[in-house]
Amino acid sequence: MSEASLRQEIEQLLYLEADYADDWQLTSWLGLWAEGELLYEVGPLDTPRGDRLSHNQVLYLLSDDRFRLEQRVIRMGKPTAHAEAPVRSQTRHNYTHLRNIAVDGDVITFKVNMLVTRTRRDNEGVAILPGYVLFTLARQNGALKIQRKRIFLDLWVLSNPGTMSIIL
Amino acid sequence: MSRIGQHQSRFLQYDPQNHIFRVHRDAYASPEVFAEEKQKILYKSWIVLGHETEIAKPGDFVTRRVIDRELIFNRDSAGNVNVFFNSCMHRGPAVCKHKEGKASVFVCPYHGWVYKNDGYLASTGSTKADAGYPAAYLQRGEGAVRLQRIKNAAQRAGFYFVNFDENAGPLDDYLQGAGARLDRMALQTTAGFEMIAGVHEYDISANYKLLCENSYDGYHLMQTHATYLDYVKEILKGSNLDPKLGGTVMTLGNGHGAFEIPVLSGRPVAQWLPHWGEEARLLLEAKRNEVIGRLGEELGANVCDMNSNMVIFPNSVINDQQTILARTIIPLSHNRMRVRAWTIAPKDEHPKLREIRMENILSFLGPGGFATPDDVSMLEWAQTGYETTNVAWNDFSKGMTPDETPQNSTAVYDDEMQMRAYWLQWDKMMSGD
Ligand code: FES
Ligand SMILES: [Fe+2]
Repeated sequence: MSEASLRQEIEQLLYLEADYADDWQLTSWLGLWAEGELLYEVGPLDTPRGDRLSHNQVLYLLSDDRFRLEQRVIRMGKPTAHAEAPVRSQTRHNYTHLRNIAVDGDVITFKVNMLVTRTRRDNEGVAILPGYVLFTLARQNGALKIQRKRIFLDLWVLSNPGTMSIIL
Repeated sequence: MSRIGQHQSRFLQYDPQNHIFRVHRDAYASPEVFAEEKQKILYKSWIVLGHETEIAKPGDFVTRRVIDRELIFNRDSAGNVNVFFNSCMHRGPAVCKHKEGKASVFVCPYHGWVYKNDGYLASTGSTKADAGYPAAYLQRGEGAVRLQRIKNAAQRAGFYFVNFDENAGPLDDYLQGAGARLDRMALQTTAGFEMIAGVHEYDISANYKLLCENSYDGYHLMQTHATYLDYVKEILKGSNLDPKLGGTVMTLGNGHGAFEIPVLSGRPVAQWLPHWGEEARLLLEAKRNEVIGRLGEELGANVCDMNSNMVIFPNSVINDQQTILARTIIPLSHNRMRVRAWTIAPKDEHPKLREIRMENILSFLGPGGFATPDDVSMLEWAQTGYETTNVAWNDFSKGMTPDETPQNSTAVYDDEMQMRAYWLQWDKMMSGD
């Protein structure tokens, strides 16, 4: 596969993933993940080069294995998930500057910049969540699936709102 | 004439005979009250600053805000612990811009004054510059220039506190029963504690006292945390643990209070969950035996099996749950706070148990967990209710009895006695000059 067509395939997956997250189609979003072990994390806020440390060494904002990610999605879908009910945050995921694409057999890794905006009805203004993502994809049955999504935000403090109750 | 115990003030309706305890919402929603409480309460109380493990070695320092004061907390080269205001004695800038590190001197970036890590001025930039000042400035006697120290800094069970009141009494007197609760946490290990790197720092658009109340409010668990309790059921599948809510609330004197409820979701000291696997089971069994062997059956089981959330009046929250988690609250204004949550763990913890601790923290606690975001929403919505309606009073009457002594007593876990004790203390301090 040429570099250009792989890049295009990755971009398609990222755009689909962003749309599912922004539309709160949580089950479809979860369906983009690979079978087997997975990792979904948001790294530490106040730690430079946080991506060199694991969630066992420093306080991440969140770190989900398969069980917890599935539970997170179940929880977020409930009307009793008060932080996002009855009116959910409106989010907009933007990915740019896709780079460092590396292929090792069926596994593809890359880095991409991320800018998520988040608007809440009961909170004036728009929260801007800038950062980058280290993705690991796996090709399973011909399709690209997400195996790891490790997000590192350019924030010291989580503010307006100070919680992470959306899919980043 | 008021009956015994009955009490009506600007902020309180306290009527034990009629089972009424109400707090005026101005206590949360008025900028003027906030300014007043800063003077009368926040600057006069002992506030958690950090933990001794952060400044274990000579030269170690952290910089930190307490209430609205910027501080340097360090251990100097002679091994003494200091808390300084982080401001140059010449004309003001912070002399340390790093969050943490090791330093033998602090150098002001503006004109280059150099302070030793015990705070004394060592140089004003050059010998030539030094000549322009009284010789006493650079000597350690009378007239010496030194970073301004907070006189009242003290520790209990490794937790360091400061009090900005020059005339404050001793920390241990202030803590009363809260001190013994801190001692109890320290019983988890004989090896001492270490700070886990990183903090959860997040803002909440609500008065800081709302988070204090929420931290030991057993009554809200079923409702606010319905989704978290569903998750707990899921992780307890296949175990014989029964995720029942229960336990007690207690008042500890001087407005401090705690609740103690059975562990729901396992913890590294020391309760096992099936999905952690066999290796973890053996390690946790060994840890449990160690604790019980050392402390005896009753105290040992209490240390292993009970979660305890404590509010040290007025704004320090120390939770002993999946981990020991301190939430120091910076009240930014009457309707906004910054939470700084950090955690300590036994130094001798097995790596597998540390892994479990970290996972456990992330699933429940913190702004990305399965519980905290819902709490935060409740607090913000409560604050909005105070600011957008004319309703004047909040109710804290649950479980009240005519003969209740609101200090140093216990009640069932979902009563509001601990909050009544908090507010009685708050009201008492606000009623003084
Ligand atoms: S202000 Fe610090 S050296 Fe002048
Ligand atoms: Fe809660």
